[in-house]
Amino acid sequence: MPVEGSSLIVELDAAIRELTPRVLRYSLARTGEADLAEEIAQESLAALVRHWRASGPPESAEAFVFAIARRRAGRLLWRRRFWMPIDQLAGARDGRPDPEARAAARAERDRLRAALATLARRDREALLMVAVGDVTQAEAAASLGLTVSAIKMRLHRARARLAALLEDEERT
Amino acid sequence: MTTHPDDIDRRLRTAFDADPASVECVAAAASSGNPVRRRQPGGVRMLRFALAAVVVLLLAIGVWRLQPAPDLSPSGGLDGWFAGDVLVAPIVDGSVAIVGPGTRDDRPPDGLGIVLVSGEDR
Repeated sequence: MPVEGSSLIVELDAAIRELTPRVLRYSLARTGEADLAEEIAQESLAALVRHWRASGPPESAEAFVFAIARRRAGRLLWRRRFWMPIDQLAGARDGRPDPEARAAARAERDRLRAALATLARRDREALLMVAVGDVTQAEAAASLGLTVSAIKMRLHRARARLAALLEDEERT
Repeated sequence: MTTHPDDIDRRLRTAFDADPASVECVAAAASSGNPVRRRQPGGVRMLRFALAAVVVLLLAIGVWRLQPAPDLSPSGGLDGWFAGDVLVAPIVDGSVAIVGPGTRDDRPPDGLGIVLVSGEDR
């Protein structure tokens, strides 16, 4: 069902506006780099726009966008690991300057990402989708191939472990 | 800074929140259905291209080196191979016919015969 009429266009615009900050946050937490996060967010949202225009809204715009963002982030992270030596050689990890004002925020993000990296992959993914991406537990469960109760258990475990890790770090 | 489990979500959201300009830019690019691709600095692109070219070249050389040696016994019944200008041929029936007009080189039976070959005879 191609998009016809202004109401669907308004709905699409509203969906984009609502999803953009969430998918950007999620992508930034996954990659740690603003450029990569923007690329992932743009592509997953643009895929939603194309689908919406060609066949109408998907069953869940949220699930659609986050499924693409999750796959895309995985691919980009793999590619970044492959090219990292060259990027570092060329001093191009982050093309923008890193002024002092951004340094503190970056330090906090790095600290959180280091703690997140110690979690089990699925625990981390569940936490990023639900806590950072604001995805509902039911959608996250469907996306990760888990039951809702399994997601709840993973979320509880991930939060507790992350809190303990950060507590320890701040105490030392 | 608190690290109680209940505050983890809030802390994560705050840390990874995107700036409004970035949100606006991404939303606009996505709405157009035509995302703007991130451009790598020129130096990085050149280094990546150079690395890819070297890999392709090495693969091509590897494939070329793995090609089987040409068959030397299509008509004269001579099995052998060249090492530079030297023809190494096994002696099967007590003698081996070496290419060249009317040339015959008798060798002891069994083993390998080595013959220097150059010019048209090669």
